Amino acid sequence: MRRYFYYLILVNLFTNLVVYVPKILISHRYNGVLFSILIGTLLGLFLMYLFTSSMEKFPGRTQADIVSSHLPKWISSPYLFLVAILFFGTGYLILNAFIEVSKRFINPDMPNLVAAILFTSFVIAGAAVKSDRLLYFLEIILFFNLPLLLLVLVLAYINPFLSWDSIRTLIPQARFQISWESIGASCYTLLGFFYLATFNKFFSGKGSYLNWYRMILIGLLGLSIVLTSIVIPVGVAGIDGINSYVYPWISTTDSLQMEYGIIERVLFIFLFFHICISLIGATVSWHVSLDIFKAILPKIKFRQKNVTSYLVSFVFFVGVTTTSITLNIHQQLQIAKVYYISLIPASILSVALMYWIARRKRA
Amino acid sequence: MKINTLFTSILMLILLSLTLTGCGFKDIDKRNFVLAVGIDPGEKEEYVKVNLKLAIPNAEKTKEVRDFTVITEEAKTIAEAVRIIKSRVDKEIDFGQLKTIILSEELLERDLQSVLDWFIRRRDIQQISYVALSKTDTINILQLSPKGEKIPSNNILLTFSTTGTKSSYVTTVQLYQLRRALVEKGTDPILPIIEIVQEKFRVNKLKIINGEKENMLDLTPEETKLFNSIFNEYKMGTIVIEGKLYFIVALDKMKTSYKLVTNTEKPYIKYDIIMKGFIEESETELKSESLPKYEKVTSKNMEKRVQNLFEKLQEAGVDPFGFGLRYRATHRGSKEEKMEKWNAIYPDIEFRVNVKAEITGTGIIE
Amino acid sequence: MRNSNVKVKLNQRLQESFKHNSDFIQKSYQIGSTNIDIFYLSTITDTKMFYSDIIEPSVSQDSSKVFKNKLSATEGFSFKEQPTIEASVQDILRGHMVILSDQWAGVFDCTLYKTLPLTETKVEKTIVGPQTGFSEDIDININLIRHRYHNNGLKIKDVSPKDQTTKMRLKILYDDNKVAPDLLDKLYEEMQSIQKDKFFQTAEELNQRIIEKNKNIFPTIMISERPDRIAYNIYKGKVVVLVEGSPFALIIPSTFMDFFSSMSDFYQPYWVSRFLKILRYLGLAISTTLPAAYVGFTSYNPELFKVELALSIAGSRAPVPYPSFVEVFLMLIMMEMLTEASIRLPKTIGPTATTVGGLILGQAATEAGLVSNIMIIIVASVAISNFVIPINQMSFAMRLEKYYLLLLTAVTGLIGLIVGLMSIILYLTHLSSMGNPYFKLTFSETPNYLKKGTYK
Repeated sequence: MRRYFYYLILVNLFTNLVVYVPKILISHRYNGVLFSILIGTLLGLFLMYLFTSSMEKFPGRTQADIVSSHLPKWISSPYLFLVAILFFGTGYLILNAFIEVSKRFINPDMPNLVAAILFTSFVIAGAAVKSDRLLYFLEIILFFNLPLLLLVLVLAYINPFLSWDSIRTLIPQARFQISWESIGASCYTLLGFFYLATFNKFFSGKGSYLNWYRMILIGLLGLSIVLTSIVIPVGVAGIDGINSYVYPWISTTDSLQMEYGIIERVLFIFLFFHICISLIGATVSWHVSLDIFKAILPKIKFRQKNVTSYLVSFVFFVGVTTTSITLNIHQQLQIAKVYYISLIPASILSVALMYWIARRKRA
Repeated sequence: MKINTLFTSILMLILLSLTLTGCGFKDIDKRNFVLAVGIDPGEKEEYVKVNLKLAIPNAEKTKEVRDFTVITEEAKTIAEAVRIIKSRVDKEIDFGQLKTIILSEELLERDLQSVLDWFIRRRDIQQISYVALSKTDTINILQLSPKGEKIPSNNILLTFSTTGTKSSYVTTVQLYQLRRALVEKGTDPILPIIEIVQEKFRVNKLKIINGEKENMLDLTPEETKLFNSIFNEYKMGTIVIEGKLYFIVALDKMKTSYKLVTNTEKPYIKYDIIMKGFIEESETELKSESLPKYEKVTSKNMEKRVQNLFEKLQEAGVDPFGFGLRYRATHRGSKEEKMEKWNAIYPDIEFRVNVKAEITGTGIIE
Repeated sequence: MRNSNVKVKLNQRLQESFKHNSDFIQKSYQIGSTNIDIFYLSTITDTKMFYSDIIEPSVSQDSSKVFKNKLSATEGFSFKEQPTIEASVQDILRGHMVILSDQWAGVFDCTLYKTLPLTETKVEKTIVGPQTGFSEDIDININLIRHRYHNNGLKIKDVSPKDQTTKMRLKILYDDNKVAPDLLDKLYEEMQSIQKDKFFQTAEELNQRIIEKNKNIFPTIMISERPDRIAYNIYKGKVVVLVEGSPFALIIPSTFMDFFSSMSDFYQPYWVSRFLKILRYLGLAISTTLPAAYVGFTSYNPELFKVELALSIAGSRAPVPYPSFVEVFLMLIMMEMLTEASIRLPKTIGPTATTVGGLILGQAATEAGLVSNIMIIIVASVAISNFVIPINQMSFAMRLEKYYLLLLTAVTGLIGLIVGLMSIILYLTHLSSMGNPYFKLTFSETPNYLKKGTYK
């Protein structure tokens, strides 16, 4: 089962390519984005180490379970509520970005509402599936999508017209100016370990999630994905020209060509990847969110059935559909920026709390 | 929790959402595919003339499928012209298959970026479309359908893409490359020039544009060939060596790298070229023992020609190789500062070209 | 063997080893001064001659010595000096009768082969490998399985659903050494809960009874007519249910991948069978997505085609009056009719129907401008690739899926196709077969029901 932990890390790594992360990083390309990326990745890796090692102390238990049994209810409930909201936020941002993209690039005449209904219903159905089955689903989706991503990345890097000088221009800008936005955005890509909050219940055996070489491997992979997310768009569209693209990655992949492929435009391969990863990423995060909500919210009975999760799902649904028609892309981007910045203190706090509980247990 | 009820209700929701749609559905036979676009300056000031080459699909398999029409419209902007054209045709105009964009040379006197803006902004126009320049009205290019062309506008496409012919005279510029070079400070865009000669297309010249300073430079076919072999490290090219010895070297390896040295008193660019090839044709008798001699001759010859090319570019104030961008990539400071410094350096910079030629044989005969 | 203690021990151990087997027979007779015990499996042993010619005449009059002589003169009988438990079990499993007395022991070879009423496999054909399928006689079927699985771990149990009306005989087969106990418990529970008034008489119907509660689209329990598949699955630790009068057996639990395996995979070289497997999944992909993809590509995103293809499709669609999804739907329905019709028709008329339907109708439809040429190619490839799926249950389910995808795509374009595909995969992973996951990428980890397994 341990390999599923890496899938969770991977899916979060890839979702960063499809949400606002590249856009945020690119907007800071003149003031030391590389340094921020390094700090963000290291921070993410450090948090990953602390969190997983604390969760290992509680094999087979969820975070909600651990926290509410070790802390008084007046702390644990608001805390878990906050965590659940943050998980909801991840899925929310992915979905909103995806609705925009699908409208703009795949089917421009589709009303936002229809797209929102279609995707949100899928994600809610996926979030309601049993946790282990969701992991199997995740594995299958990654199995189909990894080769596609690899193909796109290989095509991007071997493109002879990639402007390496534009990419190199990023380096001298890397002064020690840091921006919280870009640290938050690049840290976010490694936060997949937080999904253990729910999925820890399946990893009940002995052994640890991470050892030093796996950490280094994940760190390198994370760093290279985050770097790729800014390097490829800059190399294709130029460091001065990239900023005007609203969706840097999509416009970038449209500049790649596979002359002998069945589909010549690499854009569509990337869009396929985009759809799959967006949906699965949102599904996994909402599953965790729903799971925590179920643990902390009172059970609401309707005809002898517990309908809490239905109600929460409905709130999720309404949340996405209403904002998808009322907010525009720039407002969404603002929300994303606020979210990523707030993610840094929230995740540090959360990890510290778990670490403290784990320490206390051992003592 | 009954998952099935959830699945059912979601299916119902999806079905419900079906009633909301219906738009976006447009059958392929109700679309007019634009295969090429030509942009000319309009008759009126500030107006543009847009020529769209539309394919007419043909149901008859036996007939040669090469029917097309070219529709022309003049308006203040490209978008407006396209909108007017839309009202003139019976089907939806689809730019999804657009692969060729021909710009009129006179258009360069205006701001190229604002002309290209429409192409970049539209989601359905491929960033990998080929862009070329025409000396005459673009409608001539669009209307020419050379013999043997099965699909309208396919000949231009095959000329530029690597699936068709490969020639070192042809410079390939795709939309995103043009746009990048235009916007990027420190590098200047190039555009191939397409002409009609004897009912056929000919692409063997190149134009280099400097967006800000309004400098332009036309390269001759020979220079274009040389430019392509260095700029794209074009492997299939040939080099003609004239002088005491006359022979042609067919390249099968071309590697270039350069170093920008600005901390010395006199800044210079050290340009290294490593090439490998064999002798394809010769007027005098060649001996395989004296290959080193030929190598030396080739190196000297190339060095001189590349040097001349660079100096010509420098003199014209254009920088298609992106030396300025390299300067930006290797120096600290803000974008504007660096560009100012570079603009002062470039006119006086020295080129030190160093060619290492290796000739592997004299072909299959001696 | 001169010790009656050994006999008692052997007797006990044989009974122990064959417990939970309803066809295991143990009988005792008093002949002269000796007690003899006979052991055999009634389904694979031909006992008629033994009873009529040996036991019946001997029981009342012969002395033990005469009886012994008589036996030794009978063809197929041999004495065993040192009978071991292992050898005896093996003999019984081969259809021999083991005879124990206080003084001696022997084996009587009277294997029963029921071959006469067997027919060739009709549904799951293979080119090489065994060609006979199950018959409609439950004893013959057990005979067939036992002849493929000579191991005393094989248990055959009678189960009777408590309130069943028809009182059908049900038999559950499994290998005691490999099956997981909780799987058996769950199965018994399911069997008991079959409702009183529900009428059923075949394995297929039983399958529906078990599944019905969940209203599945996909088959989660496999039905097979091949003894070799059944034997293989028993070896894999699965449980097999046989129903009286039904030439099919249920394999519980099954996974999605099982429905894409053919027994001929075992009889082909490694890379050939790999290739065939890939071919089947490719067939699955084509038969479910092609109609929807056609609609998505031609009506929403024609920029995905190359220019040549786009123009030729546009050309061939030009005279068609209907939108693409109506065109696809019409042709698909015609194709389904054709498939259904050719199943029902007698063998002699079948080919005529397909020729008339497939060739002439298709040709005429394009001539008349009702559908495009490309459409005919698509419908034909959908039909053919659907038949590549080796288990019928699955190919029927997949015939349904393509309409779901078609509907979604007709309304929302290619996004609908991808979301639809993902939702099918999600649904498959959500399904369970008797509590076990139905669809996973790999089943390489030892699943629940194999935990007890000792095979390497």
